[in-house]
Amino acid sequence: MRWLAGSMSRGGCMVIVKETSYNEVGKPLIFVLLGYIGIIFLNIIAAYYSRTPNLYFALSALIFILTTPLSATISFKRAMGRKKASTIILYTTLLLILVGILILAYGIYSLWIALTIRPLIRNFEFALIIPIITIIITYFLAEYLEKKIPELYWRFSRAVADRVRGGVSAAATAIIGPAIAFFGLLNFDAYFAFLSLIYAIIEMKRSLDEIRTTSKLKKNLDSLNEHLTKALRTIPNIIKIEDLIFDPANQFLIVYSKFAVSEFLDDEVIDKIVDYALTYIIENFGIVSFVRIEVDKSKVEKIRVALPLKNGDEINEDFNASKYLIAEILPNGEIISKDIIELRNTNDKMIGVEKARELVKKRVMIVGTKKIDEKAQRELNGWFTKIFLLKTNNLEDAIKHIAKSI
Amino acid sequence: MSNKVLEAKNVKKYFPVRRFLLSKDYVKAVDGVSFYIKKGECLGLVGESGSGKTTLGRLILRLIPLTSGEIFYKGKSITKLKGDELKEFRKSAQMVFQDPYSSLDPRMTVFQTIIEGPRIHGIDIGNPEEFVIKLLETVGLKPEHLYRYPHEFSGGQKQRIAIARALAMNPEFIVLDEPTSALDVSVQASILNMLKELQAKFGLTYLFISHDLAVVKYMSHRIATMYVGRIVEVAGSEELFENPLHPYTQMLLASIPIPDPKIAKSKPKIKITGEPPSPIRLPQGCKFYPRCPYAMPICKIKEPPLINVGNNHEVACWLYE
Repeated sequence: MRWLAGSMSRGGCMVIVKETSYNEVGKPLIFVLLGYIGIIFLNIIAAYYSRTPNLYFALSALIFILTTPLSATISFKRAMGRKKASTIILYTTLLLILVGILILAYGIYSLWIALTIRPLIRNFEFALIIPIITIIITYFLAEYLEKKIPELYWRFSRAVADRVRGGVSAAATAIIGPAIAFFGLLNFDAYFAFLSLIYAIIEMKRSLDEIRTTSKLKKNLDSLNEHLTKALRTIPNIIKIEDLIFDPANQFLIVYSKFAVSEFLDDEVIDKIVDYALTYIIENFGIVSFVRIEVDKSKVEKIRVALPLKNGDEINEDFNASKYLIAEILPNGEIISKDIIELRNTNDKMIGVEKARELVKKRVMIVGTKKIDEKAQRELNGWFTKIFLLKTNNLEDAIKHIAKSI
Repeated sequence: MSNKVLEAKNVKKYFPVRRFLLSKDYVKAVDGVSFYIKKGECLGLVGESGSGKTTLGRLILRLIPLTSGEIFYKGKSITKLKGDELKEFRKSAQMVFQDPYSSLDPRMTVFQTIIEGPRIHGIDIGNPEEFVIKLLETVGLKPEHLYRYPHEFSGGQKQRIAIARALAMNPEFIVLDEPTSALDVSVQASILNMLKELQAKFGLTYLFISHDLAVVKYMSHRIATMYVGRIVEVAGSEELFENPLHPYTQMLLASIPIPDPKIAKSKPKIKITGEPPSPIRLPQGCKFYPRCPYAMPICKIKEPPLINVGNNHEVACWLYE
């Protein structure tokens, strides 16, 4: 997994930016789109020269299918330029559906002539060879896309590839009639055109369903927002969610997220937070075509500190204690609020880990302790909670020491 | 090094699932498994149903082809063995299957069943009847059973016949694929004791596959825990039960019912939650992440390797890295 990553300084504050890689996702997508458009041109030529209604229907199906790779590419390109994608994709999809319907209507007209007046098919080489080329190329384009795009984006690559594979079915249904007609049974071209017609209608319905998906996604934006906010807030040192934008475009979702982390975190740690957020979004938010995450370090107004307690008034020798002081402090060490909590464990072998996990759930940003076992330390570090090793037993001294050190 | 009877290195087995024309998905039944078994040792393999235990057992015996990886038997790669060489390997490596009801041919007598292997492999066994009777006695059956058919036996007796069939080849290594799971508890004990005795008597090496942790503990010198096609923890039998490190192993051990409420109270109360992920589309990072109570962000990003934490104890968990 690689990302287009970078960092920049904005008003003296370091901003880390990561987004879906153009080379890994965008390039293969554009290659497939261009290949697919090439196939459509071949089918236009084939339909024009062969005059068979089968190829008109196949062409309309191919145009309906085009809505998916085209909307995926547009959504990706627009997202890279930080532009809204949903409106333009809606219009493009509607336009393609309209074009498809016009071709479909012309196909129905040709079918009616072929059934009532005379068979229209001619130039068999076009009617037979082009669908075969369509079958082969659309199949390999879909395979190429699934292989090239990283595994993490499997939903996205599969959604596009499966739709592109529809081109195989469109061409396969369109070749049956002309193939029988080739042996002299010209009327069969028209009879089998009904099969192609049905398939074209199926593809039209799929394209309309994609538009409907956009409105469904739009209705759920609040819950998506809530879900992502909650997920990001599980990391105590994410102190502010500044921006969450979901841009649904057909079935694809573009996600922009901007949040601030505590200024005392190292860049390496922030990098891990960003990777986690990216993976989380792609794995949990449906067909995500593009993610951009911006993180900046921000001054912490209130720092949440936890200290293990002994007898309620001094620091315990070990991190594993039954009671913890959770204090909210100002950067100058002044205590704003204090709370003593009791933590019980269910698994003796993971006692430190369980306590660490509980403190993370309570959004503790810093833990001060005299001694901590390796597992608990890893759990806290894993959630990017900073650990300060203390020498004093005195609570106030410890808090002052922490405030001074950050 | 030389006392390793079997060694598997990064063994993978992907089963194709057809999607569209030639497009396929893959069920990753075994995905990058490495382990070894020493001479005279019994390695227990535990895990939930569908974790790839049986597939791994079959791969080791070359009953199904590997997708990738390498298996060494007595220091020699068996991955690409063919013809006579493969036949020779199969002589010394046998398997006892889970279900004795279906692993025996109902149209063959006990004599025919046991003698079939040595005959195919051209093993000199002297007087066949004496040979089979001796084997039957070894596995606790009587000479009068010689010409009976499988349906005339109980489940336990059938499994004894299956074991005798495996022993007929004079093997050095046996894969025991849940040999007692289809049997009553009382019969299970006698079969397990017999397997232990046979191991001591003939110096056999076992790969013991089971989802019954108590049985595995009784049988094995070392235990490997499997989760969706990967080994997540390997340790000595006692060490694993005393000090399980991987949260999944802890969950498995916590699920063993303890009759004494006092002891039960002192044991960890971790419940196995959720279901294993689909082996076709596994999550990024640690595969146990969605079910792990101690999961951290790194677990979602990166898969942990098997880490040696000392005392021949290996665990694939970021908590120990």
